Amino acid sequence: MDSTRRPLDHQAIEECAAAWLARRDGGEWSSEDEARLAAWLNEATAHRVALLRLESAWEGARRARALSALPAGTVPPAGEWRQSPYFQGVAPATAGAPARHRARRWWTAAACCALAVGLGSIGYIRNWYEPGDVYSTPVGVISSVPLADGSVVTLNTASAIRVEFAPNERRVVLERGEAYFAVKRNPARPFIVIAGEQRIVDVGTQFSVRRNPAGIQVVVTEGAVRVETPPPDASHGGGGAAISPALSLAAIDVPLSAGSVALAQDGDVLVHKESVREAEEMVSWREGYLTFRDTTLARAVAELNRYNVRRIVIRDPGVAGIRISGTFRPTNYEAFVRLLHEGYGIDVRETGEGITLSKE
Amino acid sequence: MEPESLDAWFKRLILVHEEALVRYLTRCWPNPAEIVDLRQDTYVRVYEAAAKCRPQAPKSFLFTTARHLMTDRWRRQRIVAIDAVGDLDALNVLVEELSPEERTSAHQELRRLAEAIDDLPPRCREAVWMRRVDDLPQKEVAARLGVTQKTVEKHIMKGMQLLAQAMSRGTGRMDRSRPAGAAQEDGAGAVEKRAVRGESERG
Repeated sequence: MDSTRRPLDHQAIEECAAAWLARRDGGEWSSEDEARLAAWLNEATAHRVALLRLESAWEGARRARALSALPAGTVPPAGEWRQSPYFQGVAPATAGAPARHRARRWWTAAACCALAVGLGSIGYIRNWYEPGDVYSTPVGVISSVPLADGSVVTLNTASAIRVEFAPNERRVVLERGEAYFAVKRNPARPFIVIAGEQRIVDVGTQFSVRRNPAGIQVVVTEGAVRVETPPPDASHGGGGAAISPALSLAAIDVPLSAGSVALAQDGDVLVHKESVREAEEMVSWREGYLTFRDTTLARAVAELNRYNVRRIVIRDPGVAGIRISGTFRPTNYEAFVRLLHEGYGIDVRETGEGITLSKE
Repeated sequence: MEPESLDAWFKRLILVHEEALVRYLTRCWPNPAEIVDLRQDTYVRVYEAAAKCRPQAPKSFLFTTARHLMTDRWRRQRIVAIDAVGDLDALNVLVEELSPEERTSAHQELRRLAEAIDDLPPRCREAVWMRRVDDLPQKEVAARLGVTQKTVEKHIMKGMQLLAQAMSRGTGRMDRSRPAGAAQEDGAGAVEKRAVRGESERG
């Protein structure tokens, strides 16, 4: 049993294991091959652990997909991946870039309104904008957009932004979803994110903004921002873009420093001060991971569902309240439900409405 | 759903600690040429023990197993200087120190993976990239590289071995190809390889 008594040639075993895996990976794999592999694995535990180790590394190498920015089959020269937005470089706008289109129609309509309403207002003329570029991501896709000023915006799943840069102000409208902003500092030209009625004014920093039914969530991981929120009675009208310059005049200013998490809704801004590390965990989606720490299962599932077309449904209130911690790849919901099954004895079933979770 | 297989368990809760394990072995064992053997023998013991009964605390079990293995070996070999035993007894401290709870950011992990891919021999790197990053079928990779499928398979074979080695930063190619000291500095330190991690690790 104890194979350590006699020395094993681990190098030779590894070669064999690699040969098996590479053949299986190649696709031409018969049931006979499978049986022969099984026999080889049963011969010695050393065979099995060698195979598992390589398999694990090979599976792990899939994460490199995040680096893909070129059309399939185009291998970049070594080192070029540093250009990937994941490494703070500036990516060429190629196949990996999010969908983009000019929002001309919107702009034309808005310009007409502006002319009709606000010609006399100096403030308004100051805020004259170029028509914006719209960038969006479908469900399950995370993508970075380098902006003209050197800032980089990373869009989370099912998100859209409109970029409107003016000479004196850089403005990005978060139309839906969530985005992370790494802002190139320029005090002469403030960077403003507009999400519903909130304006998030950058003071040289990195932060995320997310629109969800409970309001606008802002997470600051570096530097500081200011959240400007309109008083509750000023929040009527607007509709859609909600870019009323008048709003900022009556705004309540809430400064947020690194590690702050703010939730803004209806003129209220609720701020928690977390550690910077915790704040970073909240935006770990940028790296293709979700980090949960003592989070209710209901919340974790709601997060995961943002990334997948196939939904996870909780049937049981007892299950919804379970608290979990861990790091997950949001698109790998199979691993997630498997862990729930093993760790908590939750019954997992595939049904017409998705994957349902209930107590066993 | 099926309960987690032993194989999946082993990958998720044992193999993730490979880098820490290798560092521990390297620190305790005087002969670097034997680290790979020790690592694999440790895995064998852990796997066989877990087949009978899965340990509650997989990480400590892994390190304890490695320690017992080393103790057994040098009792047999009788070539190890006495003072090395002192290191071994410091195991409890070491486990804490070697497997830090703070996770590497996925960012760092991805960077390391990208570097490992870059360090592959050029043709091998191209094949690995097309299979893993672009997800092209082997047939198409062969066509694009202008080689047979068998050759692609060879590249993949080599590639997975080199990647596994690079990610463990053990006694492999790292130490030979980089200037002395570079390996330590370059984050062999606190970095811990981790893919999907669940709460169950804490017991």
